[in-house]
Amino acid sequence: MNDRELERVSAFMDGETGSDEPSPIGGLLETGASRRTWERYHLIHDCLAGSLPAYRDPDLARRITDAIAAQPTVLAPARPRATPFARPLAGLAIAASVAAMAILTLQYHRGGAETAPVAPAVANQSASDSIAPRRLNLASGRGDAAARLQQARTPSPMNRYLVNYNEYRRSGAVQGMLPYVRIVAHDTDE
Amino acid sequence: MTPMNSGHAAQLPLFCLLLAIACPPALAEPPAATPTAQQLINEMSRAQRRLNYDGVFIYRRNRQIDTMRLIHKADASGERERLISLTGMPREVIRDERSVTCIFPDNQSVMVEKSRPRQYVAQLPEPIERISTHYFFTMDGEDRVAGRRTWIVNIRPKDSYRYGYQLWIDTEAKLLLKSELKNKSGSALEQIMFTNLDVYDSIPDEMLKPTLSGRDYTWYHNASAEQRAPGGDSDWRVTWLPEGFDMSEHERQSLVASGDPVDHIVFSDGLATVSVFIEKLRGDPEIVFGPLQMGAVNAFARYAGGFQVTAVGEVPPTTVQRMANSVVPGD
Repeated sequence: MNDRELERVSAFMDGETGSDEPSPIGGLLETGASRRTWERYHLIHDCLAGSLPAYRDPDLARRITDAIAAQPTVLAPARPRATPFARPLAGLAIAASVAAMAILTLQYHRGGAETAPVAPAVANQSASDSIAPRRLNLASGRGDAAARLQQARTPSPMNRYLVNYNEYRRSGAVQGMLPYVRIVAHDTDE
Repeated sequence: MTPMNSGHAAQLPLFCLLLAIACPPALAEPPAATPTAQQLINEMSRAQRRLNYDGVFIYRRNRQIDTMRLIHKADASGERERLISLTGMPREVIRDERSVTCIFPDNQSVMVEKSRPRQYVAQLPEPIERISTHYFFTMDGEDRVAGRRTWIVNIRPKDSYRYGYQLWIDTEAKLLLKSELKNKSGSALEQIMFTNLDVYDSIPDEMLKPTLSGRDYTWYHNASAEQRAPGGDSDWRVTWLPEGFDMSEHERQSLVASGDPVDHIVFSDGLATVSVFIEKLRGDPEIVFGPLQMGAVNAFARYAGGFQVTAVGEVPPTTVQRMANSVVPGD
């Protein structure tokens, strides 16, 4: 692999390739050398992220491959391959979660939001106009299970975090990006 | 042909050359002395805060493009700005010296957070020596953006724990007209670019008022925060930081709902900033943990003994993940 390909693999692992770039995964599986590169990069990534396991089995991938090869062939439609590392959670648009939180606040505390307790909210959903109110209706007619679900997803504080982060970021010497664009921006495809 | 004639012919190109050097073409502006990257960045920071301007820009990340309008007013009473989405729902953010108001017509809600007082904001610039330990600063020629001449400044990180920037700065007003945020290998993760920008002597107050009154909206206020001395006693410690990062602020906010404190610890290498939030969880802590992304802002949330620890920053995913993972209770 040349340097450029290696950089692409590195960027891909960090979730930093542009969405219009093709995934380098296909090319990685072609040769033993590129598979070892992939393994090595994961090791580096784990090391950088401070999440190295206490013991690392260098032979794990080979044993899994062998075990899969030994399985009888199942004639069934192929399922999409799961990506081998954590991806940013889909739909976790921070601004969108503000929207979701506010909808539920509106539902429970209209007129008294300033002093009322924070309403439980569905944090992880798109703020698209049509979807949000529908979820609200589902939530308002909740039984115990729905109530537990709402409890479970307590208001995502991400939006508040983002505003507070922006306020501190402003004090930096360089304002490379305008601070609030990420709040005003829309997430249509997440 | 006489020897005299040939002498004239030989002198003519030299004369033309001298003329060209002495009198540049009338249409080109006189060449301005190029400042250093650091000077320009400092001037840009001042201009962004002190000028009155109104511009339209595009914001691009992944495959999405939004168009927004930014109006900024600075006078004796301080800075005020208003950011409006011109595409999709007309979301707005209005910021003044006291608060940041985010208006979401999508669901008729308004979120109000406190803004940071001016005295905290006006500390600039960071000592350049400190920043240049971890970034390369270079001038990268000129370009034209929104019909204005710009200088291009490149800021490249020296390691993979931070991002770089390419900035297009107006040669006259010194305002930022275009910006790309890049990872270490140089791929752009986010871009903004003004298509039009006007600088004014003053801006009427009406232009800073929201289009929507918000009268029928639900308002969601957050409580004020208590400043804590950086480096003072804390219930929490972040035990891993990329080289060059120091704690710059520590504040404790209390939530309206529960009254529980939220610790907010801010780290900076002089250019990039990472916030670490530590908040007590109530009820079933089955909330979203792991990596999150919003444009080039990365966050990583984890659960730690009844608390949610979240690191947020305009830095690569690895940096926030590792910082969040390193948070331990203080002594």
